[in-house]
Amino acid sequence: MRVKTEGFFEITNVAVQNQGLQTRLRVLNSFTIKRDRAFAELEDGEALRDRARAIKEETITNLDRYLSQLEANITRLGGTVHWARDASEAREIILDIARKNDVKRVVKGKSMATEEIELNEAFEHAGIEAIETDLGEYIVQLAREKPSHILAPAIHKSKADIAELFTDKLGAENLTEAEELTSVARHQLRAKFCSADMGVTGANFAIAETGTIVLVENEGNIRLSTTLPRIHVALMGIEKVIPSVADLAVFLKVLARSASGQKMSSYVSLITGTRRAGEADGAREFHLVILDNGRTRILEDEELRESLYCLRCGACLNICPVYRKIGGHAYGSVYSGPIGSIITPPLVGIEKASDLPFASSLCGACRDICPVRINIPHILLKLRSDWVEGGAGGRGRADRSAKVAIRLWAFAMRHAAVYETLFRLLAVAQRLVMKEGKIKRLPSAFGGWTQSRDFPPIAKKSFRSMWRDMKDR
Amino acid sequence: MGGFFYAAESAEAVCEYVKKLAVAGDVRSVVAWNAPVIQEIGLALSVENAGAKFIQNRAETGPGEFIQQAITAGIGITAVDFGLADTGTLVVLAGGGRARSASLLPPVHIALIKPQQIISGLDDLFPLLKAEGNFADHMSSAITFITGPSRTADIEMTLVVGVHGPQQLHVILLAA
Repeated sequence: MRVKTEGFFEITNVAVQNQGLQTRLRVLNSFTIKRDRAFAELEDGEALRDRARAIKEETITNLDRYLSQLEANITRLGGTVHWARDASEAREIILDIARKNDVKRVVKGKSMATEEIELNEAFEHAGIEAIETDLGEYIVQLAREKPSHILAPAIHKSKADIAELFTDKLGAENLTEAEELTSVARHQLRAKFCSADMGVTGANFAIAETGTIVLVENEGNIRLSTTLPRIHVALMGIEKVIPSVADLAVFLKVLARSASGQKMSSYVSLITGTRRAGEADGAREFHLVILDNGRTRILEDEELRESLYCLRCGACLNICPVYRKIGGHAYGSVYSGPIGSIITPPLVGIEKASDLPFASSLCGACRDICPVRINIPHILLKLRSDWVEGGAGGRGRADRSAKVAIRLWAFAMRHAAVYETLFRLLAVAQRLVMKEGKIKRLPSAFGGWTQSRDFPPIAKKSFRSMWRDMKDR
Repeated sequence: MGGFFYAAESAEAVCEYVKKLAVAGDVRSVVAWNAPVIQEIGLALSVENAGAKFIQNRAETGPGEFIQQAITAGIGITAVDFGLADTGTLVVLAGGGRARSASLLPPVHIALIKPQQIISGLDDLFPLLKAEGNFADHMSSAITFITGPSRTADIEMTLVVGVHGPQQLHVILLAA
């Protein structure tokens, strides 16, 4: 996976000033409101979330067993399972399937994993037409951009942007309403679905017990991609397997609610094997490509492991105060938002994405909203300490002066007399930076604090001395 | 969920409803599952009376024949296997004579459901499917949960109904 995180602060500065982006990001509010409503109407939403987490914990702890079971069942039903160690291997496997079958045109369902391995570019280089069919992904592909949100890839684009894009690339004139734009896309893509040789999707879940791939969507493009072309290839990370069909009920209940506040998305496809004899549609050949690409690194680390529970619902993005200000592109990674900040560093190496764990106020909203209760702030802190202390690939980059300052502060906190004296001195010294009783600007290194807020003044009389006076009386 | 629901009192009522839809949509052809319930109601005749061809999912004379027919059809008619009351979801199992395309390609999907097929929700569904031999040797190649017509909010979060899948979903509840 390629990440682009140099110049993070410059990029985020630009994003925050971009009024258009800010307006568009504000609509994410509605996702969260709907999500809350959808969970409230469940009889016991909290128990369901606990159950979802428990299933994921059990699965991830025994991943090898469930993946073996999954492979056995898929193979038994006539499908083929491929194991891809990294992005390059995954691309090769998929291109190979395409080449062997003389594939000229591919229709794609929305899949973060395929973005991660940069599959579209690989198809393009191989001279194979690969068309994104999810409306948001289609828009982003036409614009030659990257998706900026797990659920709504084109959320950074306005209706006007999209209308202009459609006129430019499709020759469709005078479109203003969302319905019209959608209609154009439906018409354009219909022809592609009907003439595609291969459909490529991700997988929301893979059921070990039965060898079933589960795909969740609203538009119908995934159903079309798995029903019409003769070959279906599904790419999924190792962590997407779940033990049994009964477990699926739990996840289906929390996934759509968490993602978009729906009780159930429009279509859920449970695909097991290929079309049977006598059936008029469905793929004749099925391939599941199971992707590692750094996930075993996350699996091996006890503290990072729970980030593999992620259902890719996008709820943490919608509620994150940072994401809602900077948008998905600023993260420079396929995976953005809070979940992106905790999985990108271990997947690509923390030195390539060191800004991400620090881009958080640790408010914890993500942890509160996560359907499987991933403790994101805890993992952010762990990654920060890895980076600063040089463990796990970080390089011990603590700022020299910060280290000294913290040591001095720690000393003062442990010695009451030193602490008191320090504050008595500061109470006097602060007069140098005070104006009308307020500290609006601190000098040099401390200037960052006062860029957007005042620093609280030190009281003239300390609480301790007031307490002493009271006691003496 | 954005679908249309009609409780029919008789087979004739069902035929009327379907005929009206066919006429309103100026439909030239209708594709349908080869399912007993569809034969029993006698939909073939009504559809033909409305001036449209009635094509059932039977043995094909050429590969992809039914798909081609579904592409040009104005309406797709299927039965269902189960209905989930708590989410308004239809559960449809693919099989011979029960093509996926029928509920996917035409812009209008009509689903016929019997009262005894309605269960409360997902928790009841999976044990029932298992009991019928699913998730073992007689697993359906594709089990699809359909909740409303196709939709998207990818453009400025504006809800648009009817994207790649059907634009209209009509669920007809048959008399017991």
